[in-house]
Amino acid sequence: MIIRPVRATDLEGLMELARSAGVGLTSLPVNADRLAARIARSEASFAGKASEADRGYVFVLEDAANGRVGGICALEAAVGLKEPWYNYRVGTIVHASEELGVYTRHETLFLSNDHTGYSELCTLFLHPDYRVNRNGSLLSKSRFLFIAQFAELFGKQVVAEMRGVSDEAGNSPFWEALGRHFFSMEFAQADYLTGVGQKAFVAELMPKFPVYIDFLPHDAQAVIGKTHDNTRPAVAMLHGEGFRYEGYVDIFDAGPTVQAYTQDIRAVRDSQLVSVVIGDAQPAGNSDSYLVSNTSLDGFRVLLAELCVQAEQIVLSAAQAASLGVAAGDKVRIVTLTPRENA
Amino acid sequence: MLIVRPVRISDLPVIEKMAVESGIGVTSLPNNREKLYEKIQNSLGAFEHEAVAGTGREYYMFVLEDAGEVVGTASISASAGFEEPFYSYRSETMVHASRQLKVNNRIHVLTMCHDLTGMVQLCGFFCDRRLSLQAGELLSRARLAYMAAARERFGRRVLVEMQGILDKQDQSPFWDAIGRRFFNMDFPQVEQAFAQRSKTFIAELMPTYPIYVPLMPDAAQNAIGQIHPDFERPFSILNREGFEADNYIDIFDGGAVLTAEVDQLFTMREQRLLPVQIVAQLPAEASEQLISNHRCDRFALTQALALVRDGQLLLSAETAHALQLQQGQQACLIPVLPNEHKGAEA
Repeated sequence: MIIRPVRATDLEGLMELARSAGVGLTSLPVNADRLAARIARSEASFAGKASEADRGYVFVLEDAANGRVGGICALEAAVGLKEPWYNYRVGTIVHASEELGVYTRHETLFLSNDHTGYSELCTLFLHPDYRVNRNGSLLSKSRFLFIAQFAELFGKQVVAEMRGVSDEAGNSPFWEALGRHFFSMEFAQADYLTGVGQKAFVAELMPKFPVYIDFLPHDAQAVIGKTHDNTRPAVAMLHGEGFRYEGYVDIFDAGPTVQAYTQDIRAVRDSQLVSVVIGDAQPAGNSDSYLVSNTSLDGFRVLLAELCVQAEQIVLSAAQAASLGVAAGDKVRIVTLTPRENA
Repeated sequence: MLIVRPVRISDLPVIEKMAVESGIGVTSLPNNREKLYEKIQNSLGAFEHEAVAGTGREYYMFVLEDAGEVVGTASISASAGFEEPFYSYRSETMVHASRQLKVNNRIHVLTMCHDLTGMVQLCGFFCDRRLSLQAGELLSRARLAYMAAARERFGRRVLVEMQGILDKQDQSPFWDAIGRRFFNMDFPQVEQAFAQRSKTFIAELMPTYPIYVPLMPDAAQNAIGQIHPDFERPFSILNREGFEADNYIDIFDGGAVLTAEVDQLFTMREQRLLPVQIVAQLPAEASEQLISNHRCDRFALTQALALVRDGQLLLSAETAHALQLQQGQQACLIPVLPNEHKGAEA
């Protein structure tokens, strides 16, 4: 398995992926025009021809055995620079008067554009056939090596929006309590518009003034900042990398946005450049699973390898080196796939 | 004979009784002797001294006498919220529209405001329920008749707060939806706890951000701009005078705040000044009218039979005497309000 930038010829593969994703993944619509545009924007970004506001990098997981596209993930360099990026910030307001002996504390939703200019992890999807052998971690975390290698392309923080709570019929209690009043539309429809890049339009219809959470029904209050069950593993993975929920939620389903300072993300901070040695055997010692990437922007590649790192060198097989497009003596960036236990 | 006159210190005991009887909700008639005494003192000063519109905190308190017995009271505050802001919610409509998405939603929002600060305020109304509609009307309108007599003392616009609706347990659904979340007190509690203080104290703890009405429970939404059944009679009088329940509501119980242009009110438009002619026997075509002596200090108003003939106001000696009017002095004639319910009242 290899992670590489998406190409125009991947369109049919992405359509196939989108079909298998169903309605759950709104950022991967079964729509050839939209997907083609997304690919074109990504190619321009990797080629260094896109403006900051437009830069978005899309990666695919390619099955080296047959060339099939088994998964997709993406990075937006800076959100909210073309149209506003909205979140609710869950803030606290205290209404108190010592004189009157009154003290009340209220959680309040403030519409914010606080994440403007931050980078975003998005559009992560792995075809069910490939949900084995830690492909999911490879796909998701490959982006951290890209960020580490090209830090100047990214914002000071990275955010990821986690899917909020909705039932099997796709109804979101938060949407029913808030959005519905402002927007006579089903959640699924709003969700779809979000996916196809119309979120700002929808957001413009949402309440602009702060909303006291205790004005909302209990079932809506209960899901604020809560993740959909299916998204829990993704949240756990990001937590392991140092991402935290800081009180920002989605304006439609109140799912949490997790965030981290770019340089503090475990896989960014702990990654290192090492030299390549071509060989068939690892040196003696404890090996570990590593993400390994080359240092090329438009020819970026990542793979997963069992390595024993010694003296800032790693041993790759000829096949692995060929997949990455590197030769003996070249620098590659590596990081362990999972955070190390503290010894 | 019913007559409205300025309050006197000697009225304090009976006013205190009314304050007890009026119960909660009528915060402008506090159940507190010292406060009432202070109001009466303030009123005595206001009637005596010259005042100019919008400059002071004059408080004019009137009482209704029935055969010499005080049976009701009503007041004018020259400047609502003088020295502190007068809080109310303004009902607003916000359009959330998107051309791209072909959506156009009107959202009802309540915004806390001080728009009504400094307006003339009619307040402190209490009238024995056993009295006739006519008595209530005379007492309520006496304030407008006084404003006609002392027009320069009052500003351009006037407001009256109506008590909002309560449920069977005297709870306010509007308060429960908004204020209660900030106080942990129910409506009777908050009324009692703060009856001694200015409402401003409470208002300052209320949410300053606009309230989205669709997010409120139905019972609270239904209370917006509504009027307590006990206030239907006062409302009917004011409504026929030309007051409108339009954009403003009380921040505690959601009751309507009525507003009007002073000079557009029925009393202001229809009042006429005429010289008095005292007659022994009024002609048969004489009809019931409101008549005031049109004085700023020793003001008096009554309802009696009267007739205009040859530019003179014909009154009985009894009426003239009650209003302290001599032959040839100016009196103010104000027609009774057109009745909505014909024949409902004798």
